[in-house]
Amino acid sequence: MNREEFEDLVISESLGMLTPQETALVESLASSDQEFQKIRDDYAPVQEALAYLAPHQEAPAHLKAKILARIPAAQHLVHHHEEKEESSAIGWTWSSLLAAACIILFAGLALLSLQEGQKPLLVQDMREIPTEYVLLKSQKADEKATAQIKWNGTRRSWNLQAENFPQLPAGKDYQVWIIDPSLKTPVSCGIVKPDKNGKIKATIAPDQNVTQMKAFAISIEKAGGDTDPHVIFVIGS
Amino acid sequence: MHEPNHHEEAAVLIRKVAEGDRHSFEALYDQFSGLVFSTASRILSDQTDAEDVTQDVFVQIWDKAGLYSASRGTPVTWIITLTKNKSIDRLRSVQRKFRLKEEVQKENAIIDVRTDRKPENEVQLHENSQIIKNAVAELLPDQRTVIELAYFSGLTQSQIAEELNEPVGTVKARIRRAMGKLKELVSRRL
Repeated sequence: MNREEFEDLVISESLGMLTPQETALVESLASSDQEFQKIRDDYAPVQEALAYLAPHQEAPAHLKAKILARIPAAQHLVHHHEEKEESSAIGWTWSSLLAAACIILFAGLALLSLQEGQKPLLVQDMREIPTEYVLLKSQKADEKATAQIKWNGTRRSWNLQAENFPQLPAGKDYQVWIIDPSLKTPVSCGIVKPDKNGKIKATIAPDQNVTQMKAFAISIEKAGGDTDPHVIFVIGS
Repeated sequence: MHEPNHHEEAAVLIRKVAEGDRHSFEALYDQFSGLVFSTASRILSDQTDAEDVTQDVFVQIWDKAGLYSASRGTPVTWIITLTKNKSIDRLRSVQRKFRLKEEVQKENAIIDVRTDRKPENEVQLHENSQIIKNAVAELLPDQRTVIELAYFSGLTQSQIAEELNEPVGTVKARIRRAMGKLKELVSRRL
């Protein structure tokens, strides 16, 4: 790539117009190409300045209380969902039940695994909740990439199925994560690769014990994976 | 603009929010609610929708604070990206896309007037906002239009070209020239 192409990428990034493929490319170049990094640094003040482009307005005074009412007093997932349940739709009630069931089952199974001296795996009997699945969507509205993580009661494992995942450049991999609010960082569930049609089918398991499952995410990381997610590609809770 | 130490302070707040610290969340709200609300209002042209989006953005900040890292940009750019994404999703859902074009044109007229204002009136405007607005005011009208559409609409370059009835190459070149000039102007004023 030449300087002009680098600059086009950085401009698209500054304006929030990058596709996921371009996002991956930007991340890759940012860590490997000094000329690209220099151009990116040059545009950083513009990117920052553009955040202030809208005419300034103070948020209405009543808004803060409304938002704080939506934030749980404790960080625990069950409390969080219970609070939403009180204030809104029936859908949250179902979500709360599922989340609570997940937590109880995870905790029980983690204990079982530890007792058996095995690495704790994200396995549980979900026969009573046959519709359990988590839908992951791209953070960009115009992207078609989606993923579903479903509980397989027969194999007692979480299965990932994804579609429309673009091929990544050399040196990059997709990495799956579970977000557990009781842990400081998301928990890696390993690397996955799309086939030539952009589809992924994989069984996933977390690297460490998970007691609360708030969300799943798939990010774009350096080849082989990383300890923290950097570029979230799809996410769902 | 926020100075580096402000970025660090905001990044610390985000880290604490990720740990479930409500006080840090409130501090973050106090610092960024105006920016979030302004951006949502600008994109949506509707006060009620902007309030809803502001709520959703801060709930999302609470939920996703653990995913923030400096490699994803400064706290300001991260929060604004969340705001733009939420706003644009809502914009699409209510089919207000075409109203934006008219708003951009109106905004350009406002910028034209604003550049003629006396300095004493300018001090009432938000300082950071003013730096970029002054810079944007120095762009040619067609460059302003294309930058605002690119930044606020969530449209691709091809869609902007279609919206403006111009060739994609022209739009691309215009964005490039405008951003180059903004880079020069913003750097000079910081």
